[in-house]
This record gives sequence, C-alpha cells and structure tokens, in this order.
Amino acid sequence: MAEQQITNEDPRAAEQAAHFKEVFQNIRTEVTKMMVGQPEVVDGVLTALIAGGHVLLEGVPGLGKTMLVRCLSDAVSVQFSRIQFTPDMMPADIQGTMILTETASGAHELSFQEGPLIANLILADEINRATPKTQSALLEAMQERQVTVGNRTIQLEEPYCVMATQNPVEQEGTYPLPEAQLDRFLFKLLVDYPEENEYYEIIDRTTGTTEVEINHITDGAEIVKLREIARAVAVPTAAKTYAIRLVMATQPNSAYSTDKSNAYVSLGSSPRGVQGLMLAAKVHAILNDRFSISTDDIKAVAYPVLRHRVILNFQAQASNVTPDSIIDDILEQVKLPRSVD
Amino acid sequence: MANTDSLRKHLDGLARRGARYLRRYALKEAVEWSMRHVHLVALVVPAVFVVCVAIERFAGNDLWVLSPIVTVLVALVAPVAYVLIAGALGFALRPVNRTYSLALFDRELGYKDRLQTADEFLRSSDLTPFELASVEDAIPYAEKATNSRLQDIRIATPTLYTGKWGHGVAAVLLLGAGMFISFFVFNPQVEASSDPDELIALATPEVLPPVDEVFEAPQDSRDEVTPPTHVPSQTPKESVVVESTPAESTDSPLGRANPSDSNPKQSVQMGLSAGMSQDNKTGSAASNLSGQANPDKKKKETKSEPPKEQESKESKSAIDKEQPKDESATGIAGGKGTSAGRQASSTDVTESLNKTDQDDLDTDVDLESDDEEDEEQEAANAARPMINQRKAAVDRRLSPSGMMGQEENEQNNGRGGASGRKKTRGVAAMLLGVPQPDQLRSQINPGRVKIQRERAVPHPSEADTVASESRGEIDESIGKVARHELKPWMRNVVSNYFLAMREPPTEEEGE
Repeated sequence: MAEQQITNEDPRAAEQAAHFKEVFQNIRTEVTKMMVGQPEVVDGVLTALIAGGHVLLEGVPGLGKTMLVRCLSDAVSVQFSRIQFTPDMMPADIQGTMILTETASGAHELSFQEGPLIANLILADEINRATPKTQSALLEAMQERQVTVGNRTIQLEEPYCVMATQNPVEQEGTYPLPEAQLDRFLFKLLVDYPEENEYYEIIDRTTGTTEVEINHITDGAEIVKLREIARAVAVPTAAKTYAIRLVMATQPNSAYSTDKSNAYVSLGSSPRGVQGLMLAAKVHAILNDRFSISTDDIKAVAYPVLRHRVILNFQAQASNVTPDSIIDDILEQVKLPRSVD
Repeated sequence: MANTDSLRKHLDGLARRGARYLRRYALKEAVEWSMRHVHLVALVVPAVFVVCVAIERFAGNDLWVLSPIVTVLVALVAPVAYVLIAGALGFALRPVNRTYSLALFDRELGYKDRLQTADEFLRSSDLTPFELASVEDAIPYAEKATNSRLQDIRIATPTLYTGKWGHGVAAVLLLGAGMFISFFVFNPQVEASSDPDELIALATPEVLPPVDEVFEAPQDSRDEVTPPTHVPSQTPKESVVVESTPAESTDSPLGRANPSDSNPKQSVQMGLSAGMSQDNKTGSAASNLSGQANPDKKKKETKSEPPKEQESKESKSAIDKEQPKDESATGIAGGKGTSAGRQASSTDVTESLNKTDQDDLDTDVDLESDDEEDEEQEAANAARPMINQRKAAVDRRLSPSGMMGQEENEQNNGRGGASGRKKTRGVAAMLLGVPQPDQLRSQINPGRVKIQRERAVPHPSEADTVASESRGEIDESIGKVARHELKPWMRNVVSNYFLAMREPPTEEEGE
C-alpha cells in the first residue's frame, strides 16, 4: 500500500464540529430555562431541527409540548406560527387562500393571503384533531418544502420545521395520522410526566414573580449552516450496513426481520427510516465529539426515528405490544456488522 | 499534517493481535459447542453396538462386523474425533480478517468504531475533511489500544459440562451389555455342544441346500399362471394344512437347516396366498362367465326407457315359465365377483343365469314403484337422497353421490343440458316420508319461537311522585379518572374474540 499522508489542509472540520456543538449547547441552555426536565425531548427537538426533519410530540396535556416549541422559536430567531388544529379546519385555513382585496385605485383584485403554514417553525398543535383532508395539506410542505394553492406554488424558506403535537389518550373526535403523514416526521418523541424533583423547579419557575426571558441565540441562516455541517459527517460502511439492517428488520418477512416483527408488525419502515437514522446519527456523533458516525449513534436514535414507522397489527394492539418493544427486540436481535458474536 | 505511518503500524499490530484472539476464540467456541454434544456422541457407538448385537441374536442377521476390542476402541475414539473435527471446522469456518479484528478492539475497549472507521478511510484515496478528522481522531485511540493489556479483552471460555459424565458411564454399561448379549445370551448351541468342530460349524455362515432340492416343489409358481377355468385338485384349506407342516417346510425352495429359521412361516404364507389367489381367480372366472352369459339383462337393468322395459318383462316371463324358480341361487352376487371361494362350473353358470333372470323379475316390481320418484328427481334435476332405499343421492351418472357426483361436467361446452349435482334447497320436512315429530299440546318445540301475538294488557302501577330538584354543585374534584384495566384473562378473552373475528375466511368458507 502506498504511503499516505494525512493532509488535512482544511482544518475547518474540527472547528465546524466545535462550533456546531457550541451552538447546540447554547440553544439547549436557553430552552431549558423554561423547560424543566425532559432532556431527551429537548435534544430530540434540537436534533430534528438541525437535521432538517420534523417532529411529532406525543404526550398528555400539560407536559409542556407547546411551551417547548415556543421556547425553541424564541431561541432560534425564525418566523414562528402556531396552528391549533380543529375538526372544522380546512386546507385553505393553513395553506392560504385567494381573497378579494381593494387596491389603492379602488379596484378589486384577487390576492393570495398566506396561511400559517408559510413560516420557518410551525407548531401544529393537536394535529390529530384535524381531518385527513387538512392533515394531507401538510404533506407537500413537509416533504417538498413548498405549498401549492391553485396554480400558485410557494417555495418555503429554510429552515422549515413542523413540530406537531398530539394527545395519545383522548382519542374521541380525532383522526389518526395516516402512514404517509407519519413517515414524514423524522422523530416521534414521547413526552412523559416529569420526575418528582422536577416539580419543585416547575413551581418555582412558573408561579413566581420572575419571568424567564429566552434570548435569541442564533437565526435561521445559522441553523442552515449547522445542517450542512451535520451532513458532512463521515459515514463508514459498518454504520450504513447496520442502519439498513435495522430498517429491514422492521419490515415483516424481510431478510433481517425478527420473530416479533413478523408476528406483530403490519407495515415496517420505509427508506425514509434509513435517511432519518443517518441524519440523526450524524448530529449525535458531532455532539459526542466524533467526526464519523458509529453503530452506537444509530442505536441511540433508533427509537425516535423508527417508533412511528412501525405500524402494528391488531394482534399487537390486543397483546399490548408497543413499537418500542419491537425496536427493543430488533436492536437485540440484529447483529452488528463485523461482529464476533 | 500528520503521518499515517504510525497509525498504520498501530492498526496492523492491532489487526494481528485481533486475528489471534479471534482464532483462539473460534477454536474455543467450536470446542465448547462440540463439548455440549460429546456425551451424546459417546453414547452412539455403544448404543448402536447393543442394538446390532441384539438384532443379531434374536433375528439371526449379521449386522455388527467389528470385533469387541475394535468396538471398544471405536467407542473411545469417536467422542475425541468428534471434538477435534468440530473444533477444526469451527476454526476454519470463522471469518477472520482485518476489519473483524479491529472491530473486536472497538467493541471491547469502547472506542465507538473509531479504529475500523479509520482503517476504512485510510484505504480510500479521496477523503473529505470529516473523514480526515476521523482518521486523526483515531490515532490516540490506536496507541491506547496497542498498549492495552490482553486480558482486557473478554472472551468467553469454554465450559466443560461435567454434569454429563453420567453418559460416559452409560456408554460403558452399554458396551458391557453388548458384550454380554453377544457372548452369553440366547446361544444354546454354544452352550450345548462342547465339540470344537460343531462350534466352528455353528459359527460359520449358513449354507444353502443343493440346487436339486431347491427346485423340487415350485407348485406355487405354476398355480399362479393357471387359467381361470382351471379347477385345482387341491382346495386352499388343504394346501394351507399340508404346506404348514414343519416336515415339508424343510423342502421349501428357501429351506434352511436352522430350526429358528422363518421358512415354515413363509411356506404357510405362500400356501395361503396361493389358495387365496385361486379363490380370486375362480371368483373372477365366475363373474366373467355370468357377465358374458346375460349381456342383454344388464343392458335392461341400466336402461330406463318404458318400451324396452316392457319387452324385457315379456322375455323374462317367458324364461320364468320355462325354468323353475330357485330360491337358493345367488347369481347376481356371483356375477359381480363378490362371492370369493366359489368354484365356477357349468352348473353354476346356468344357475347364475337363472338367478339373474329371477332377480330381474323381482326388481321389476320395485322399478315400477320407483318410477314416480325417478320422474320427480329428473324433473327437479336435483340430487335427493333415496330415503325409502336408504341410499345416498345419485347424480346424473346414476352413481352414488360422493363417488362420481363431485366430478365436473366433462362436456361443459356451455350448451346447457344437465349440469352437475345441484344442492338441495329446503328442509327434510319437504320430502315425503320423512317423519316429523308431532307437536305436543302445551309444549313448544325446542329452538327459537317467533311470538306472533303477545297478549299484554297494560296495568296501571302506583308509585310515589318524584320531586324534581337541582343537581347541585360538585363539592370536590372527581380526581383522576383511571382507565379500567382488564385482568389478563379478560384481556385474553377480548383479544381472542377479536382475533377470531378478524381471521381470514378459510377456503371452505370462502367457497
């Protein structure tokens, strides 16, 4: 083998990684001024924002899902809009519509009134209360980063991130998200009740006289740069192989499917799952002081990336089998590439 | 700028060390795996030895060709050979390469794939800044791995299953049992005869008798080729009795001098089979003759046209006048070949002819009575059970349903006509002759009862008036409304019910 010199004349990799980590930590610090506890949820939201994905937050009311997104929008100085989904909401209500306006000369003309979907950070509160027709209006915006109304197509500005919330308990009058919609979310984060010691902090921060101010740490352009840095993280073959095996293991009757996935999964992850695993693992690798992702990074992000892409069958629902238990089994069964086990 | 030489050297050294570990691990793993089953392998040779010796003693076949000493040696060598072969196979089949070796260090030392990633990136020529940074990042980890102690790497050591040594004792006992059976059990000739020549003669393989003795009585083969009309002079029962005597069994073609031989049984079986074959031949001969003698009668049986039936009745009445009626004849049954053991002769043939005619005449009365039902069935074109005859429904080929009725219409050219068997619609009460239980007075039949009219007379009921009052305010909060969790068995009941509801229909149900 010919001798090779490491001629890293572009030392920006280490600097970029350090800058990335610094900005990430600053945003997290600002968000946690208001948000008590839930470190995994906060990191997941930030990771999805930087990786260029969308987040579905699931939890019972009162756990701070909406507040988390609001704090994030304050920390990241981007255009923020909130949509409270209701059953009577129509696509035009979120995309925008043509309205009759009066010009300065007194004439009337149709002009396009942009809806709340046209922003940088969208909080889609209680998204499962909207009808599938309205939910589907989000599909184009989330995937193609554009909104088409009539013959008008509007390109959405980067960064564009939809953070949706839904309540898993109160299911009456709701419309479960279709699989195509679920697949477009990079993460599905489960917001759980806080710990006992966190309640003291919640009381002190929210019921006192002092108000917490969220400082603007960065802006949309900075987020786009961070996204480019994250995409530049190196990917070895072993990590690719492992991510592919994990995704294939969620698909019933595939080459790597486990007994549990064969029995309880009706629909496995799509190739978007591999993309999500790679992007999220890259962010995770930088945050852990590495320049290339490892199989441990993929394991760390497997749950939020895959849990909403594993569609269970009726037998699983009847047996109280959850997607996380399926992923547990997959992580245990799927062998690491080049493993001696 | 950093030189990759040091990193390469470290990675090369780690790869070599990792390969050694992996080979050692593979060998240990294979040995461990084989040790799990070696106790069973140790039992194989003694068990086979015992079985073969037992079969040899009781059945007289030579199955075990090894001498006792060789048998013991084989029983001792087989487990060792099994462990060695399994270890060699495991060692050879375990993939050991550079990447695997570095991955071993990454995993055991918690380096997050840094070493194998750096090694992969070093092999490529065009590196991105992050790949170069990844290689640089791996240098201190490679040095640390080089200086790491070998004991740090965790490799499972094979476990010897000492609790399975009882199988070795069992193997020894089996060997002893085999030896005991081979030498002492069920060998009366060895015990009775003290002459060494007799012992040698007993030990030598059995010799077949001379050729002229073998071909003395091959009667069976000749009986097999006798024509059906040939009546053997010896009845089957006589042949069984004669050939089953032990004296004649020694004269059989495969006769042996050994009294424990099974040739007498063979001769008995051969005699029985010969007699049975003769019976079958005679029965078939009788059927052929009776069938050839009255072909017109058979046609009349199958045809149902009225003019031909009248003609057949006339001819039958003429035959009836000429020949007296014989109540003991069974010509039809014999003609169908079901009466085995009857010898066909000319008198029997004529008897069968007479019986056939007589039965045809008897059945004509029934045919007349069944005409109405046949017409009904033909009109309905449906398969209905012949209740008065206690038979299953017939299809359009006049064969019992279930045998021929399930076949598809061969001439299904879409031109109509009689199709396959149709399903009978209705209930048993619609068929004539099916008894229905009378309805007892003041008792209803079991099952659902449709109430046509209900005599319910409204009666006024007296009750206290309820004074309306406001609901009032809730004094305290309701609290947390918990979801009612079903008990496991209740959940299983609900789960099984809905799973059964959602099961796809089977092919029979789908049809």
